[in-house]
Amino acid sequence: MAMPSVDKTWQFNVNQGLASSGTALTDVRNLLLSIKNSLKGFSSSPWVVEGSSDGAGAGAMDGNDRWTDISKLVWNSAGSNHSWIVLRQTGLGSLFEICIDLNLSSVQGGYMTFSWATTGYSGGSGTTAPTATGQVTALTTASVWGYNYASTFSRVLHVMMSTDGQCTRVFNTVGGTIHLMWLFETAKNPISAWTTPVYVSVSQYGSLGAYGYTKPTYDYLSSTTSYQGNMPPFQAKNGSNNFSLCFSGEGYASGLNQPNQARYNQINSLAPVTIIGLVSPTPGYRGRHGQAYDMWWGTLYTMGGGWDGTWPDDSTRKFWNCGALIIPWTGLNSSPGVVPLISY
Amino acid sequence: MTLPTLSKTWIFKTNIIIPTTGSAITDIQQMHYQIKKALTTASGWTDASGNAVTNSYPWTVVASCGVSGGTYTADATDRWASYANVNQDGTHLAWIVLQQAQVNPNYQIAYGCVPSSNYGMNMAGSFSVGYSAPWSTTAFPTAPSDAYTSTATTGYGSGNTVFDSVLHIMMSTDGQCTRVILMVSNACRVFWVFDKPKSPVTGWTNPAIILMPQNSSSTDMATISRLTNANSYVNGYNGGLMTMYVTTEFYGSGAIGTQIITWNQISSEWPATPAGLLSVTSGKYGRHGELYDIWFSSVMLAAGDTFPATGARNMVYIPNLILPWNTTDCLTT
Repeated sequence: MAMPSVDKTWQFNVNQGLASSGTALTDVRNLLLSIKNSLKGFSSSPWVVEGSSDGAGAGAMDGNDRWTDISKLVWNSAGSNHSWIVLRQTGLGSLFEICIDLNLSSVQGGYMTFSWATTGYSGGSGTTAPTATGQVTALTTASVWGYNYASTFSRVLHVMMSTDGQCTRVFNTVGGTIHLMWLFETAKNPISAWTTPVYVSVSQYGSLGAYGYTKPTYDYLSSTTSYQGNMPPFQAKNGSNNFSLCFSGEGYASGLNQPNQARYNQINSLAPVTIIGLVSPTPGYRGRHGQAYDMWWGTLYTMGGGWDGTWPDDSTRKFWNCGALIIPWTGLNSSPGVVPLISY
Repeated sequence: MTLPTLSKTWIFKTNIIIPTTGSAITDIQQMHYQIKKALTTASGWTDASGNAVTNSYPWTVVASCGVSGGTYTADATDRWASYANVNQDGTHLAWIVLQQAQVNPNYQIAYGCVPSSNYGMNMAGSFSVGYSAPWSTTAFPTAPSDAYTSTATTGYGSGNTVFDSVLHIMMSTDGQCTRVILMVSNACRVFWVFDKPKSPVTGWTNPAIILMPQNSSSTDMATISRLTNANSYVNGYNGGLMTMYVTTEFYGSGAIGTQIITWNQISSEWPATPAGLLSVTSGKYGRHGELYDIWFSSVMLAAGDTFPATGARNMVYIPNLILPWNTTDCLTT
């Protein structure tokens, strides 16, 4: 297929190398702090801190960002001093907010409660995270986030956002594989009855000993079959009700085109790129409800020298072939773009 | 439901009732003849509003072989004046070659009887070369270099039994797309598509497809499982034949229309997902284009459902496809 045209203008804070400190907890703190700083650091439509707790007793929904350095990221049980932060992105809704709550004492760094809401959070203190009406929990303290928190790692962080704030993507790579994928997105062409056409993915890692997936795969993104206890991969709301979404795409036989036929088109010699739809298998909310902005199905392994390559194969690096996905990359703004780093 | 947007303007011959003659053989003869008659006659068409219109690009007869008074004649004329001319005697066989030059110059289809098989049917087509003389009364026309061929030796569309049928033909006004639908007992026994594809990839010379599969049983021929799964019924040509699947929107291991067996539970609308064309022939792999104005929908709909259900009836459901329609009720049996 010809070069896909993007609907959005994109800003990038990618290839952020996070060198291992030699201490696992410090590495995790560095990652989480860098994500927060990246989200609020974009020049257009940045995420805004609505409130935070510094883990030392100071916490309120007062607009202060108390996560000023990694020492302010403190894990402890709810009721005890611990850290949390709430960020708002009005591009996703006037009161769309995420809340990251480091509310576990037993395993420092490895777990968190991640929730989001379209109604805004309130309350909160140095010992208790705020809450929101109808908040959706994306991660609980039963699920590992990020990666193996017990060991030390060098990481690379990629954060990208549309200038209107409607689409935010966070990826973290460790040793050549993607170990974190967060998406906060507005649906393209949503059905008119979907009152809050936004979807969220915050990847988790299942149980210890089964550390995550290695890349965004067709199976993970388009299947409703349980994959490490985190399926389908996307959460959404319609009014006050929650439902799940997964990605759909052009297919035949028993699956999508690309895994069925992972190769270049043999007539025009171009790698396939197909549209991503949004389908809900949740009873009561079943149906195709829209599509993804500026994200397409690509082909694993066949382009740009591998899954970590760029697309198209002309060194302009306009798109990143991120696992099964094709997503905007820095070459869209300044050609040629940078080489996506997947290892520190 | 919100109707998908048409790319073409369509004309129709719908609800052509072909009652059984009481003989399975004669019923098949009738099917052969009525399809030819509908495709090649410029009159008798309607537009999408049901108004009578003339077809600017009817199919033309290149050559045929028919029997009359026990004598078979093959030449560059139409020898099928009635269904009685369409027969075989074990040695001779009736056949016909039709052309639609709006798809490609010399885009032709050929079909007719199978020797020694009262219930069989030869089906073939040429994407741009075309058939040529000499014409024979004892052999199906010689396949040109780019020919697709298929033969059903038994019971084409009928299962060797008598059948009442309803024929629906739809063509785009530019002649680039033709669809033939024969409904028997609510099943689409014949589903032929003769199209120039939408958005063909650069490099596909004379892009055209022929969907003219054999069907020796009572199988529903336009279903999701039939068109997207297991068998590749669509054929194209680009320096060699390529067999193609019809693609549509999937998640997990199946199409939306088979996996979500309900209307959209937020919008209360039925799904309508586009149809692509993907070659599975070695050396010609890839998704090479789309079908104009065909969408896949849910397996839960009933044959002949129209959208809207009354009034304009702009679209019709032929399991499992949504197709353009012309305001009439759609007879399926």
